[in-house]
Amino acid sequence: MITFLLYLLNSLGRWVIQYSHAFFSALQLTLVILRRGHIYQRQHRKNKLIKHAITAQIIFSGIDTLFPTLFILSIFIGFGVTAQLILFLQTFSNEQEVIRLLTEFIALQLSPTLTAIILIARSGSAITVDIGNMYVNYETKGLALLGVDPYIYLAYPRIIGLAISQMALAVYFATLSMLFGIFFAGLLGSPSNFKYFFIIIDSFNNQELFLFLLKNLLSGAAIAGYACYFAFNIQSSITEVPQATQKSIVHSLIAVFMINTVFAMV
Amino acid sequence: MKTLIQTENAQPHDNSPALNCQLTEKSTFCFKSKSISLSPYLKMLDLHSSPYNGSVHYTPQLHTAYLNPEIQLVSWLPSFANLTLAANYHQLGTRQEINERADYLLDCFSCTAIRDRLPHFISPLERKYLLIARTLMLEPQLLFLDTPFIGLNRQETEKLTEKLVTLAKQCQLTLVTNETGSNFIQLAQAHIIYCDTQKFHYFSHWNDFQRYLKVT
Repeated sequence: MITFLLYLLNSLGRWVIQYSHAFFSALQLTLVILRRGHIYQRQHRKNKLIKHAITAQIIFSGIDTLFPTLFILSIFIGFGVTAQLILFLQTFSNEQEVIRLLTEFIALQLSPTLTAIILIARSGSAITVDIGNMYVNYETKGLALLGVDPYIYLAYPRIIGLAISQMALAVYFATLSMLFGIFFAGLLGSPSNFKYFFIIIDSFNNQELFLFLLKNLLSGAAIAGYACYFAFNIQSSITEVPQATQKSIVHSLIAVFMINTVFAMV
Repeated sequence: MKTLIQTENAQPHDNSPALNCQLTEKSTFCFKSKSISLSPYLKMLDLHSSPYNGSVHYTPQLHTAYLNPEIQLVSWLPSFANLTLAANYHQLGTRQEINERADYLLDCFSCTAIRDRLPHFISPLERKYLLIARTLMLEPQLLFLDTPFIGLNRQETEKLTEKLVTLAKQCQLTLVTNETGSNFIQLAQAHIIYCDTQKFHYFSHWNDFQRYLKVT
């Protein structure tokens, strides 16, 4: 029994050390990438190469995800969660309490988490595979020999693009899931539920909105940061790419939940 | 002729033969060897790795480029975008100037037809052409080509040889290469830096080199 407990503690300790190491290394890499990218952009103000790459990343991660994935998911969440919550809570709460719970739970907590999960599955994994394959095939080395910094050309636009995409998608998702929820609550329950359309607009305060945007920016940067970190850590074999992708997904998920927890405590 | 690089007893590794040579502008130099690998010497000359012993002197503001068989084009960019990427990154001119140079190089290598194709959909020879063209976009004075003909058949080797020799003359480029055949050396009128087991020897003509081989 004691041996088993020791083994369990040992495994847990090893996991914590490995996770902490990956966390600080990924954080360091992300900061290095952002710093290099910022310096490059400051020195080459007229250069549109990086701006185009950021735009391409936003189109891939943000706009392509918006429809149909996020749109359909927001309908389901609107019907399955928001509408049900409105109908259920109305029986024993007043309007303000219903709205407060909706904004707190659906808009500020559930939407960023679900958006982040979609981005991890869709874009985070793609970034790791993309850069990882480039690394294994000596494409990044070729770029480096031409004086093109892979951190600036490959990683920086992805981090900025994913942070912006996460922020925009979370706003869209929160808005759509609330609107669809109120719409379904009006259809399924009483038409008087449509009044929530007007009440909900005034229910957010500036501080909440600022923290919401900041949280999403950090989540997006964390997803891309981990994806780049594990991609650039691939040594030489193509078999390392799926392993790196798997690690990137797991670590990004943990990071997103950690960020949500920290912001929930603020 | 102006000396671009000069080495003094430069050794890439502990027990490798020391190299003393002068690489002059607008010339072609071929490294040949009986038994040792010459890639470390090219890397050392391009300052990819610092010499283990001795020294490598560069002329100030010398712009070099290095290509080895491992390096690949960016797989998700079409040929033209691959060529313009580094020039755009370094802002080596206006967008129009960069595009014109890329088109000129595509034309030089007879690759205009594959301008918009991805690297996966072009032949190994065309990929080699594009890799060299991509490097030439940065207008280097000195180009190191590590085993440039590897993976090519005889006909492709001949085609690449002709293109390289023509371009080196057109762009007034110094070429430094290894593992090349006699055809390339003769056509490019290359200087030969030959290493037997112990020492490097310099030959300014193919015939001198042949004579040396017969004697030894």
